[in-house]
Amino acid sequence: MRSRCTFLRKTSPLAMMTVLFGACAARINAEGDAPEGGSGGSSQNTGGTAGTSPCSAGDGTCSDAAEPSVIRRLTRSEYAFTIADLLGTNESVSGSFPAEEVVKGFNNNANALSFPGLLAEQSFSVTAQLAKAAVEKSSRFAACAQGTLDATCARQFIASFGKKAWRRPLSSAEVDKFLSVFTAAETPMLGLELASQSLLISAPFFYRIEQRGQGRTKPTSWEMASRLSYTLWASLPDDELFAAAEADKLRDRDDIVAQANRMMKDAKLVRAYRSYMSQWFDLPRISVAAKDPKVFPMWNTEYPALLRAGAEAFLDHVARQGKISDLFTAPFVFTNDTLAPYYGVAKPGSSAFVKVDLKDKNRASGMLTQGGILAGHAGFSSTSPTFRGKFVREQFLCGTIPKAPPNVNVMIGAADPNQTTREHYSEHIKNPQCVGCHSLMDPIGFAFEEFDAIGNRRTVENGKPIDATGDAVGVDVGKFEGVNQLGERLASSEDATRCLATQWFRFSFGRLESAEDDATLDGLTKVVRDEGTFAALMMATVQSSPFLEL
Amino acid sequence: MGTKILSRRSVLRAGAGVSLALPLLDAMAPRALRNTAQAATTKRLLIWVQPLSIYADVFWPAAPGAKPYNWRTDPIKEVYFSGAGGMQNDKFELPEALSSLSSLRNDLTFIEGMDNSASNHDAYSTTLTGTQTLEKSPVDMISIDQLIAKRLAPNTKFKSLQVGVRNAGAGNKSAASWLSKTQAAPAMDNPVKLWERLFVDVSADPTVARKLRANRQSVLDAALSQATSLKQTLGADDQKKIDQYLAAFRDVEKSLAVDTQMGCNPPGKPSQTSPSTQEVLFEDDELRAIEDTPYVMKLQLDMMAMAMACDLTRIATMQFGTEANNGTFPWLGLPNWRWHDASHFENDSPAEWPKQLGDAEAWRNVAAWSVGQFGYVVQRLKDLGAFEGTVAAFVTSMNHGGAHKSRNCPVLLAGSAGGALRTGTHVRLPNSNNAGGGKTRVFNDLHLTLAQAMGVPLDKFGDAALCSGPISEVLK
Repeated sequence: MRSRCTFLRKTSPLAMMTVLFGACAARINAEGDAPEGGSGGSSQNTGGTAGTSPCSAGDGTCSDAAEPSVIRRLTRSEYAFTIADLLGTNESVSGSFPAEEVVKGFNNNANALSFPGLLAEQSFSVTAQLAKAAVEKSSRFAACAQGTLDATCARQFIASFGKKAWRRPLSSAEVDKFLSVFTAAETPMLGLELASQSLLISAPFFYRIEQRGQGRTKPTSWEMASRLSYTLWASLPDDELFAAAEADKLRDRDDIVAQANRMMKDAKLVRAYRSYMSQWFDLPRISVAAKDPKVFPMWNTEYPALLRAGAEAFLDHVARQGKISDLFTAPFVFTNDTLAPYYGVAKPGSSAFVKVDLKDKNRASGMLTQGGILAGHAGFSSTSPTFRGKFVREQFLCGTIPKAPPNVNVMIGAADPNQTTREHYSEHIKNPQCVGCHSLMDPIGFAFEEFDAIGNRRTVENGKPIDATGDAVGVDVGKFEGVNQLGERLASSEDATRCLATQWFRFSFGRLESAEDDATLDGLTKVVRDEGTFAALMMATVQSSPFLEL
Repeated sequence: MGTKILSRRSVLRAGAGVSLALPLLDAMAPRALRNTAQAATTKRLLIWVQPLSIYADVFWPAAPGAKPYNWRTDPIKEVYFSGAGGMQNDKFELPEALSSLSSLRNDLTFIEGMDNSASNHDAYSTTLTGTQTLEKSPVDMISIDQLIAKRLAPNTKFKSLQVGVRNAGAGNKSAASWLSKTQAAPAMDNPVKLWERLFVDVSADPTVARKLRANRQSVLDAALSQATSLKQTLGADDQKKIDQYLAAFRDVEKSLAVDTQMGCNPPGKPSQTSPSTQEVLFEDDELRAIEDTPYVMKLQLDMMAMAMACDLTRIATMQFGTEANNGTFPWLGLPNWRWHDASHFENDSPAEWPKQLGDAEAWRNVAAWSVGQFGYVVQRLKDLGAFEGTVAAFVTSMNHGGAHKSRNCPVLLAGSAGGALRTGTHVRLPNSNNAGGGKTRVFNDLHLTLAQAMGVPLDKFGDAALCSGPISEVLK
């Protein structure tokens, strides 16, 4: 494994940030060591520790270590899409599989994905049924004469079905191996079924296997077909990609780009970016937003589901035809008739979610000012500058906030009814045990104080005017007032732009970035900045060196 | 054809015979005999992991001579008891909230004064691992149930069984059972899927079952053989991935080799219909209507108990909720009381608790219900004649959800594990909460105690620095 510290010696903005967060974690680990002076904590963070490597603390703060590139296991959704495209079935086949391990918000980190016993058991039982469907559709895979299901025909079926399921041709020894399953069965039909099941529980079905070593530097055409299809469609290659792989026409960049251009127009594209957006913006969190009916009688328990659907429609729009900067600066939302009262707009006359421009100039920050994000990152009865700030810091500035250390009281005492939430949270900054990390979160979250816990705009809290000034230390976002200004800063910030490229990199390559990926990230960052669309980012990804090379 | 396959299979058999000489004989014995003569000596372990704290005041029996705590009238106390500890009271009286356990009173052991090894957001997932945080855990981290299962290696269809209620959906934070730092043994929430997993073979006709098993073996043979060849062509890191795959499917293979035709009575397959809404009960792993929790809990506990009584497994965990679970408890009159939100009291400092009497009643009711369900599964094991060698443990990952504190977490054992543990007693450990100035006991010591009772003596478990040794006050 590559040295953990290589990354940190560099002086890129991200590396600087890592140093900062390292300092945050180091502070926590030196529990009880008070920094000199309360508010001096943050400036000390920025300047004081940047020169020293936090690795020397030996406390695991350099957790962004380079990972080995390993073969990728299909996630549950990739498994379901693959089965759907392979067998033409349309049901949830992986619903009983265990959930994936999540790394930095994404469930497809190849290194972290393990193979739980429950996955083996459940896929074994699911494939018993799927194999029946495979045999029913056997005519797709082998042209056997009616009623003559002999070994020759079975061999043909295994080679053809196996190639599609494994996304590469089987060797003759492999065909023999699965033919023996057919031969041993009581009846030929059962034999075909069992051989199909065996192919479907095989490692080449579960994993995207790529052969490294022996001086190879580039993927084979077969491997490239899967790289393209899983990156852009979250599923197996289609007939055209299979034909291109068969003809060994996926080695040159031009051929690969031509295929990718074709694939970008296919409806299956939504599979990849929906999964990405949902995880990046943690949309499931919106669904469980619960609010105190005593404090918010106007909160409707249907809102969480509606706000999530509205966010999904918005993100679909951004990915398909909008600009990436819309995420932070769009003055519009997606709503339907039921949700319209939440945003105080006229019903658009639609049960589907449609684009509606907001007249409220204070709610013009794309995802940041959508109800789902505001309510989802707030408490039951009050806001949470910490949750909101952490969300921005981690998702858009790629910071890592460590968990609060064991047995530190994470509660800041009772709220005084004469205090604003901001005043209440200032305890985090006063307390030496808290300030290290909270100075990275709360001051960003303070800008959101102009929205209450259900996402309604407010100018006064507990009789005091709202102070929505905020600060994102350690990055080129600086100080701002209110969410609109934060959104504008994020849209133009080089650190945020690089983070957007980095998040997509993590998802599309199924691994964390390492020092060797700097040039790739430079390139992707430039695309986000100069072209500013998801389509351009996706196309740049399939032309990047980690995609084109092993 | 198939010479390689056959030889691999016979190697598997030979391997099993060598390492498991006694259990093999055991497996060949008539089932009826096993169920009677052997039942008494079969060690079984069930662990219930409860998140988000238990209202401690209503949980602990009163000390001798002290007035029992009355949650209706007495103020909520400091959440950590302040006594110097060092007490053993065999004459304890069950607290009011735990009165549903009265028929089990003499089987119970309260252990007061143990800390979870972790607190905060890792508390649930490290309750059984004896480590401080997931991130800082060593790669070979393992939970105590999995370690005991590994060491005992019983010849049962499932090495261990993880059952959940409202547990799925939080990824690693849901998991209490771990094979290693990177590999959780996830729990199953959906009772229909659980039934299929546990009992579908048991319910099958013997001839059909035999054929089914042969077919499955054939399906596995080809896939495992292919993966073994494939592994040789890959680099070291990729080989580790294939090893995980192979280990998982070899466990499936081993479970095929176990005779599942037994003289036990599997329950009927649960209906897919929700009794409260008449709509579908589960969508994948997600319970659709929160009102169905008690119904699903009963199904899950009945199946757990039967799986143990049928000797399908000897090690089981019930993973109820997660630290992030925000479901309500409408059947306890708490339709708007959200579990996680409620754990963050409006005023989180313990001194503020007395102002939260509405919450106190809710917490009392949740504690009473949860412990009552634990009592139910223990009673089921008794009724099924599978309790003699059993120890069941109710452990809570936190003491005070609001403060994310894991000091002096409620722990309750039921059963003696075949006479290895003292029962019918309330033990308060010395040095609890540092009151005696000595070392506070951590769950690591509870796990060492359980392991010893199960016949797997260990020197250390989890983070060695946290271990003081098994709890002598509890071991016989």
